[in-house]
Parts: sequence; C-alpha cells; structure tokens
Amino acid sequence: MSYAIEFQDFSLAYGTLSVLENINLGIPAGACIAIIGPNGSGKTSLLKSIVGLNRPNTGTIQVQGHPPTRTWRRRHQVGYVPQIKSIDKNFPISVYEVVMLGRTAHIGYLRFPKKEDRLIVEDSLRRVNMLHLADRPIGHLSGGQQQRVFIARALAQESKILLMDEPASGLDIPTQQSIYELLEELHGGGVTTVTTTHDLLALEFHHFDQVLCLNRRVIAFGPPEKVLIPQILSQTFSGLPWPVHLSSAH
Amino acid sequence: MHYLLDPLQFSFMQRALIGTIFIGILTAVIGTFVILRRLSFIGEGLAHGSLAGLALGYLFHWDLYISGNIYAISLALFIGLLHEKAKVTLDTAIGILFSTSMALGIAIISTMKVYTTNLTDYLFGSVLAITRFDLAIIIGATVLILLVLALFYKEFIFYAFDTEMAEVTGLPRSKLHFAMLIMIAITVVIAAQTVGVILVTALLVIPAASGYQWTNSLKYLLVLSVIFGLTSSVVGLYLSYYLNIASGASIALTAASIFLLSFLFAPGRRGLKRSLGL
Repeated sequence: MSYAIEFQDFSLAYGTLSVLENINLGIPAGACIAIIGPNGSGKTSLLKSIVGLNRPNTGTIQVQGHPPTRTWRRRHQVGYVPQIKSIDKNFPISVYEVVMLGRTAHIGYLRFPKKEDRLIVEDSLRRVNMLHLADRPIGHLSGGQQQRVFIARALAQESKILLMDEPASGLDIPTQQSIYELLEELHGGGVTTVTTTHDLLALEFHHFDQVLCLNRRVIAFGPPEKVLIPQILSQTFSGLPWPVHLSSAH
Repeated sequence: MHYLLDPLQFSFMQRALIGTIFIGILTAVIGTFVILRRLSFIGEGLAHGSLAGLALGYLFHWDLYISGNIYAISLALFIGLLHEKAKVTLDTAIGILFSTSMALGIAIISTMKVYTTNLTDYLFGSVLAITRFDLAIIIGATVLILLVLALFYKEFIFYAFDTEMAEVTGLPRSKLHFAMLIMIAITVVIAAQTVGVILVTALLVIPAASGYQWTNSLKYLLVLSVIFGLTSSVVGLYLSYYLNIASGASIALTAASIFLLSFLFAPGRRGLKRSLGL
C-alpha cells in the first residue's frame, strides 16, 4: 500500500520533554483523516513534523516516500493551515497578497507571478468565499475571515497533501460547515487531508475515513465507527498509556 | 532657486548631496523591512556596536569605512548565531553583543592620546567630508542592496510576514534572516557617514515609520518611505549648510518633524510603538 505520510518508530522531544513517542503510522494517499486528542497531546507537533518544522529524535517520517527536507518541500508543496494565531494586524498586506504568498515556490526565484498564478489565487479565494474581500488589508478581517484566507493560501499551494490544525476552532457553525464542505471537495479531488481537532463534535459534521486518537502516542487509528467508542475515547482523553491496535495502524 | 544652487558650487556639497540622496533611499527601503520585522533595536545595536570596528580601524590605520563594515557585518552574524544557537531572544542577543562591542570601542578610544577628529565624524556624522571613494562605496552598496531586495522581494516579504509558513513552503529561513542582518549592517555603516552612528537609527526607522502612518499597502509604504527619507536627507543637508549645524542632527530632526506631521494628520495612524518597529 502506498502511504502519503508514513511514521516509523517516530519520537520527538523538546529538550528533555517528550512530546511524541514511538509513532508508527501510515496515512494512505487520498485519505481524509482526523486527529483527535486533548490539548498537549502532540497533535500540532505531529503536523509540524510532517511539514519539516520538527525533526525526529528517533525514527523516521516520510512524506510521499521522502523525508520532508526543505529542498524537498520546495519542490513538493505540503499545504499547511496553522492554528488561528494572532498575526501582526498592522502588517501592510492585502488578502490577495497573502494568498499569493502560497504561490511563492511555484513562481520560483527571480520571477514574477504569471496570469496562471493570479487565476489560482482568485480561485482559491472564491473557494473559501473571500474573493470579495481580496483588496482588504489582512489585519482588518475577523479571526474567522483570516482563517479562511490562510486556508486559501494553502489551497493556492496546489498540494497533494493538506494539513489543517484546528481549522474550526473559534468559528461559527456556518463557517465550520463550509470548511468541512471544502474538505469533502478536496477529498473528491484526491487530496490527502489531515485535520486536527480537540472537539469531538467536529466528527459529527464530517465523515472522516479514519480517525487517529493521539495522546503523545497512538492510542488508536482506524475507521470512526471502530475508534469512536467510549473505551478508546476515555484512554485518549485521560492519557492512560496503553495503545489499542486496530487494523489500519501498522 | 539660488538658495538651492548656491551651495552646489562647492564640490564637497555636490558629493554630499549625491551621497545623502543615495543614503536616503537605501535607509528608507531597508528601514521598511526593519520596522516590518520589528528589528529597530538591531539598527541601534549595530550602529553603536560598530564603534569598536571604527576604533580598531583607526588604531591600525585601516580605512574606517571598510573596517566599520566588516566589523558590523560580523557583529550582525554573531547576533544572529547567538539568537539561533543559544536560544536567547534576538533583543537579548543584540543587548549582549552591542554593549560588549561598544565597551570594547570605548576601551580602545580611551587609550588614544591624540584627539581623534576623524572618529568623531563617524560618531556625529560629517556629510561634508564625503570623499569620491566614500561616494563610490555608498552608490555601490545602495545599488547592490536594492538589487538583492528587488530580485528576492516576494521571498523577503513572506519571511517578514510569516516566517514559519515561509519555511514550510521551502524558503531558506536562516539564509533570508542572515541576509537581512547583513544588509542592515552595511546600511548602518554607510548611513553613519551622514548622520553618525549615534543618530543612524533616525534615518533607518523614522521615514518608514512616517510612511506607515499613511498606508496599508506595502508598495505605497516603500514609495512613501523613500519620499520621506529623501526629503529628510536633502532638506536636512540644506538646513545644515545654512544654519551651520551638524548634518546628522539636522537630518534626524527633519525626519522627526515629518513623523510628527504624519502622526498628527494621517488618517489611519498606528500606535507609536508599532510604527517604530518595536
């Protein structure tokens, strides 16, 4: 089976603080995955490992069969939407320009955006329903609108893999629904998506192919109907340290 | 009109005017990135820290420009390395290295027996002392730095706006960071010729901060910074000539006046702290 993302004996620590332990996981190409776990369970660290911001202390991570080094990432973009963060509201940059940043690697060094890049940026903004605000300074938008702009920037990367860290956090219900509709659309287009959430209600909104229950180690990984059972959820959210093996975790 | 042309009958004033025009443009453009990345303190730190480089140059009879530049670039690289490797904040790294470096500079100067006029030119600025060689360095450095920024404009903007995401998309975060530090270091030493190391932050920060009051567009911000930087430099130079005051002081005070007017009258003005890149 070909995996879009594969962890083998992967462990990560920040100094002496262990964050992820002995992760063995294969995410199939084209799958729509949810990662659930309490705050501090390593969800964000796992995503940052996939985009090469964290290097493993032991074990390996491979994305489309390669370690996600900087030069590899430049050639094979991995779309990433970080958690809503406080951006510099005064930075003089428009919504359109922010999304165009997602095209930086495609455009290449010493080159300017072409018509194709501009069309992709407009299309990305249209898909998150933000085209009408393209000329607004990013700092003038609400948190939810900024989040949609950052999703558009990730879409503009035209990646085969899209990672979203708590994309629905702090958003109203219609906006959350539009994000899950977008996930469905990407799934249909063959994009591998990995979405983290600490909110189990998110799993009601959208059908994920598989759910990863994470609490510093893999508690369970499998189809929602097998994973979302009281025993596994209590282990995940109470942090009891024994793994439950299901079919898809290898 | 003769008020504008009269001073230019002197060749030192011609060189001074050309020098300040280039320095006004360079500091305004680099200054825009300095305030966007909130690096104001590094401009100050490199300017004061470069005192040791100038003192060393003076002690060993090296060209002050070249020794100052090499020293400031090394200092910028050390600050960047200390920040990355020793896990201290950039401000702390600057604080440690610039105060150490300045102490070294003062120690060296205090051993000199002769009053060092040449060195005080660098401390307080002496735009009228610009030689043809200085002018060649000013023009060369300005063209080189503006070329680098133009060629890698979108990469530097991405790095300035969202460093983490720039790295995710495969941009060389470290290289961009160090390239920016080196360009700031060169700019500081070059600009020290007109305003002196003590006031160099004025040219680096104030024109861009003034532009920041008027616009939400990066391109307009760059244009406005250059206009304000040029105005400060040229008006300051003429004021220095006619009022017979130090060129550094008159340029810095002109820049400050433009900022005050912008702060009071610009429609979408920003907080003072953010405007100054702090």
